[in-house]
Amino acid sequence: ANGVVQLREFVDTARSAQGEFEQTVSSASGRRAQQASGSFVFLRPGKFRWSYDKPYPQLLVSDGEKLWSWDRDLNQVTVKRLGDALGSTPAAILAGSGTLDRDFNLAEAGSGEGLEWVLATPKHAESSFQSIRMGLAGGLLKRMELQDNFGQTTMIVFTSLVPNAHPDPALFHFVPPAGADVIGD
Amino acid sequence: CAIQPAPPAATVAPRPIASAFELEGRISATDGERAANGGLQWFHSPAVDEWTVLSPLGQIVGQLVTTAKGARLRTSDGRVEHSDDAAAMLHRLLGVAAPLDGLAYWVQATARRGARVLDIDERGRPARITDAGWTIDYVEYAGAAVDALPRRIDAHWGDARIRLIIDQWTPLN
Repeated sequence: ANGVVQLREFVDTARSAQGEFEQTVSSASGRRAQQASGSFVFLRPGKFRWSYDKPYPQLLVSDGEKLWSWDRDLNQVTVKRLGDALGSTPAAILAGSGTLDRDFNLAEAGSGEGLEWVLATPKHAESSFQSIRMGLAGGLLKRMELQDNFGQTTMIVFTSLVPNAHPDPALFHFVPPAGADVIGD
Repeated sequence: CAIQPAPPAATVAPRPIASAFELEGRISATDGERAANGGLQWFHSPAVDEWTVLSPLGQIVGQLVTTAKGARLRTSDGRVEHSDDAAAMLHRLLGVAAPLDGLAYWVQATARRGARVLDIDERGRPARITDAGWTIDYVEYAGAAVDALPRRIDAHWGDARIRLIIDQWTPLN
């Protein structure tokens, strides 16, 4: 099936998923690409845990209401209301529920590298990225390529993605470690 | 750490200072209410500074270019603003009013004219510097060498606080 059909199927049927990702950020200015990797788990609507192991520990956790961002070396946690913060991020594709067409224009982007591709462009002007290209196979999301407004491309490869894995709800709640600075509401 | 009387300048180990460099790291800044944290890429030269703040997912949140003539701030939604007040624009980008011309010294653990080394570590490297009302603590150095670069810097002034981790450093001169 084509990309858009598979993406809708993925958003509708994968109520949750967990797995691992590899991320490469490359910029138009020819700066050295930056590699990162880690693991993720999400549970629609709105709950996700995006954990970087490399190059350094960083964690993004959303319980559907609040978004915690924690950097171990900085020893700091920032907390934000999820609200529209989810709408304009790639996490909206993973953890959004029933908001795909509200937040994005979807277009077929052909097939390549064994995947069917979709081009999603945010409907809200002040979104922090221009477009997301997504590659799917077998109704599952395999790759995401995010283009921001500075010519920076973030490529995320889901090296493993297991749908409907019934994740432990505690994964979507973040308790700041003792001694960490907590900033925000 | 107990503050001994300011050491005579002679005991502060001399260290080279780069007039141009490229720094990659992570920064968190708060003025007490709002806070921002993210990746930081900073290209510094005597004539031009280019600051880029990134989200964990690698999206550029904002990019500021400052020269003697002024500043150009580009925000994540693509809007561009010009101003002749570079310090105010840096404040917008970082969320804190850091002294624009002092930062190049702070990240090199060097007290510029008007700044003072209040405390040194056992290798004679600055542990605490005061500059323009800010207190800058060198929490961790990137190694044991006398002229090692700082790896983690905590600076504060009143409620304002900047915490910086330097992951990569490339001197350019």
